Amino acid sequence: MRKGSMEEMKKEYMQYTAPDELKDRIAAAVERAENEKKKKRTAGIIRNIGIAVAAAFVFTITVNTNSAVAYALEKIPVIGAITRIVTLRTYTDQGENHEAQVAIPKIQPEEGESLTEGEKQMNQQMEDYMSEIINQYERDISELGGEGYEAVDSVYSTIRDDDELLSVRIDTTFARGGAENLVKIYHLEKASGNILALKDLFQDGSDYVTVLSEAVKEEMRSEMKQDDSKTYFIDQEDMEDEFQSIKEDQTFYISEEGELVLIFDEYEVAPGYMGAVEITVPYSAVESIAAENSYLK
Amino acid sequence: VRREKLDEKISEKLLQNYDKLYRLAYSYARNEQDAMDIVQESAYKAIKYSNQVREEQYIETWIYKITINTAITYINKAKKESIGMEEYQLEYEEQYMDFDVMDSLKKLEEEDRTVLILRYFEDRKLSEIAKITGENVNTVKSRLYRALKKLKIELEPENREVIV
Repeated sequence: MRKGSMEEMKKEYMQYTAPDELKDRIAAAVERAENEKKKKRTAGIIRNIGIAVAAAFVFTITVNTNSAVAYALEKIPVIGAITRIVTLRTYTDQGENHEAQVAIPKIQPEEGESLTEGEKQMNQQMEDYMSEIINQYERDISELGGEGYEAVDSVYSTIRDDDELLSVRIDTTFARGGAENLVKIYHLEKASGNILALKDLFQDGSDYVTVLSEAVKEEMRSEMKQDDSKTYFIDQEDMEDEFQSIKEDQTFYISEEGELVLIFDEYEVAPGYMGAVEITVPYSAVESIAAENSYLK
Repeated sequence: VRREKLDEKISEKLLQNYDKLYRLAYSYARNEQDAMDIVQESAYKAIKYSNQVREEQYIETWIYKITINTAITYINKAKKESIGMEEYQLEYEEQYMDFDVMDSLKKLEEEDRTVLILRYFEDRKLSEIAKITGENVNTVKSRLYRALKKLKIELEPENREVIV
């Protein structure tokens, strides 16, 4: 190799090609992962098919009897997607050492309709949360005074929208030094029109914080035992970052199987390479304190 | 449905890029079997935890990120399992007596080496590398400088512009 030539090095590097069998091994790994996920999901799919069939039945009747409804239905892209989430505004900023791209979501009323109190409240909460992020970014930029680097990137997605719940997830990445991923999810209960908070899933006065914290620790221990590549801040010699308890309003969502999934921001309960962490709490752990209609099962 | 489509896209990308992933894994493992194990494990994780990918445009970043993390975990485990670091080193030096690019790269710190590979061999943009490694662009740049210095490479003019 001629010393000093990047081209030569690259050429040599490129000569390392994978043995043919790797392709098959990747295909096998993909299939294994897909099967494992499918197994977990089947229960949820069967439930969803049930809902879809019921919904289709109702739709048939209304479509036949009311042409105005039929027209309105055409605008609905997916069965079950009944709320419109749009971008209220996007905050962007671009400088030499900093950039921001923050999309702020809001629930949009149907034409001619107005928002319910709960929807208004959810819009306000989402806007407040995004403002906090933007303020943080602006504060950091002014503190940095042109030194160092900071970028923030925030996107939202509707993770659930059916006749029970509307759930909007906001994913934010702060890059400053290391990158930090933050996750926040807002839920609206369709039946009551109210915001659904973590505490609402449990009976009044129950100590759900302690129950969930213990269940989370249990799950972390078992995951670490099963998978060497996972690390959580638990049972450590150095207790400094040790996970103690969930927050009263810990970010959560309810999986298709009806399990409670808690989300922790990056670094909150695990080292950075784990990213934001999702921990599923088995129903058995919360059964005794679950509220009557908690969506959990 | 959307999620399954995403899995399909990820799987497509895995099969398109497996040589790239293999080379990168090789730079850590420095032998064929371990490099293949790392890529296989990464493919599994990429699909299994695909719900963490929020947008299609980040699929490649995501795959690289996982491969690097898996490689680091793998190597650390191998180091722990062998009695001492020197013995592990010796083991792969024996396998590859002819000095080539991988030997040159061995001189570099893991993080610096990865940045160099992604930038110069795989032609990834600095901003993209920053996303992959979870560092800011300035850190990525200084890793590149350090790597180049250590390799004592005199950059050709067109390359020099890229990072300055």
